[in-house]
Amino acid sequence: MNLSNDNPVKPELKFEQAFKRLEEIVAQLESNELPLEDALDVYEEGIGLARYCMDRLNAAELRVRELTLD
Amino acid sequence: MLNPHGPLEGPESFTPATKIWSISDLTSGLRQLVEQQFEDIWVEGEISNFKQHSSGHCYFSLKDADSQIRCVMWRSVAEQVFFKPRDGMLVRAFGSVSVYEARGELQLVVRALRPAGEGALQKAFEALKKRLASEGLFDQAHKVDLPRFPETIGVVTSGDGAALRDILSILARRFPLVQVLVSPVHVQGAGASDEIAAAVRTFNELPKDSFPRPDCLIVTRGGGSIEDLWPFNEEVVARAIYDSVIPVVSAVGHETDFTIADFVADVRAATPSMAAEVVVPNRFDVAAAVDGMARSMRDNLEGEIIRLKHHVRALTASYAFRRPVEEIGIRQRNVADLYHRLSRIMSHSLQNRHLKLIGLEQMLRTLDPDRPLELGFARVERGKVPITRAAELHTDDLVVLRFKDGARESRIL
Repeated sequence: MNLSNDNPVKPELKFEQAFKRLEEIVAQLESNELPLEDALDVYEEGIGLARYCMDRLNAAELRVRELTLD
Repeated sequence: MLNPHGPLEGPESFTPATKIWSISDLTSGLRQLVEQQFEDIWVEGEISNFKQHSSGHCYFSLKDADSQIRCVMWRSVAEQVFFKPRDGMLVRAFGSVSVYEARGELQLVVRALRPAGEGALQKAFEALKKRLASEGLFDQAHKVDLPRFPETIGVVTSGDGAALRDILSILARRFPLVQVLVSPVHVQGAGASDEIAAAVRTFNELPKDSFPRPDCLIVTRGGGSIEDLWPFNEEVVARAIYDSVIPVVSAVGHETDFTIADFVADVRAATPSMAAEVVVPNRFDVAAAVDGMARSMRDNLEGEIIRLKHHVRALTASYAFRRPVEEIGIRQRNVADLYHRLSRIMSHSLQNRHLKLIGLEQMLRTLDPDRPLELGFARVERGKVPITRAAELHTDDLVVLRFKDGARESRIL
């Protein structure tokens, strides 16, 4: 753990959003309602999201910062 | 002491021996007298006109049914008092009586303040709990769910207590991808409740840039006596938690201690450690879920492709797929057939047309206005207008005679 004032991390995508979109994609592919081309596109997006989630989950250190009140 | 000179005598009968007090001497003397007699005493009374100055010093009165005395409590003492003194509260004050010489006023300099009597704290707790409950601060309908995956967690607690250490340790192990913002505050003493409330409000006011607004807050402290936990029973903390747009997890004290903050919060955890467990999932569980989803996607896609391949194969093998080749042959023959028939029709119809055309041509020739000229007739025109009857002509008219080879002018006789 480190108590620091580094540059704030600004992830492009919130983990919650990535995970939720991933769940949506899985449901879409399970429904078998997509034409093949769309299914391929969505699959690619889904794999990207899964990778993003795993990267974030593999984060090594908890970021801790102090907020001082004026 | 009776005046030896009698009631009618008095101020006029000064003798050199009469002591004339200055006010300062009087008040100073009074002060000494009082301080001797009333040093280090416990006093019980009801608070009224309680005011805390910006300096931190507190000024109030203690009264009973018949009397009152002014009190002062310096900031250093006030900081030690675990509850917020309120008008009407019955308290016990420890201190010494003195005289504030500049104003000749009695005052009790308070060095310790407690709620009066057994169960006074419990009574105050019950009274506040009842009042806030009736205002709806504990309503289940007002509580919100915690986010599934917070990005930032705000923690309001003592900066150097075990509660914070436990929380950070558990978050690091369980879900280190979050960012933790700590707002260190006093968690006991009268000023603590203001600090805790201010921290909750400050978190709510953060914009989303360098210090991103937390997705949930943990308000917490370790175990202690009812006095230690008292700041979490103060109204100011309850209101700040109720007003918080960010979901709040309250974890104050231990298993069985419930503070007002616990009732108002969106979620109550029995201990700081349990608060850390409730705000984030276990990252290994989440990773397994992600892995499962990736696998599911792949299986579904593969399944789909295999299904389509089968479908295509089946189609190409089927009669319906072969049939088009035959169909083309059939159609080709049809077309050839039609072409011959069309040609025959066309040539017949052309012959008919040709005859018809000749007929029309001959007719056209007879209708030609210049044909009579060929036969030797002349056309008569007067001023470009053709003349077809002799009656239309007058003597001396100038006419044009058009022959097949040209025109000549002529005058009518």
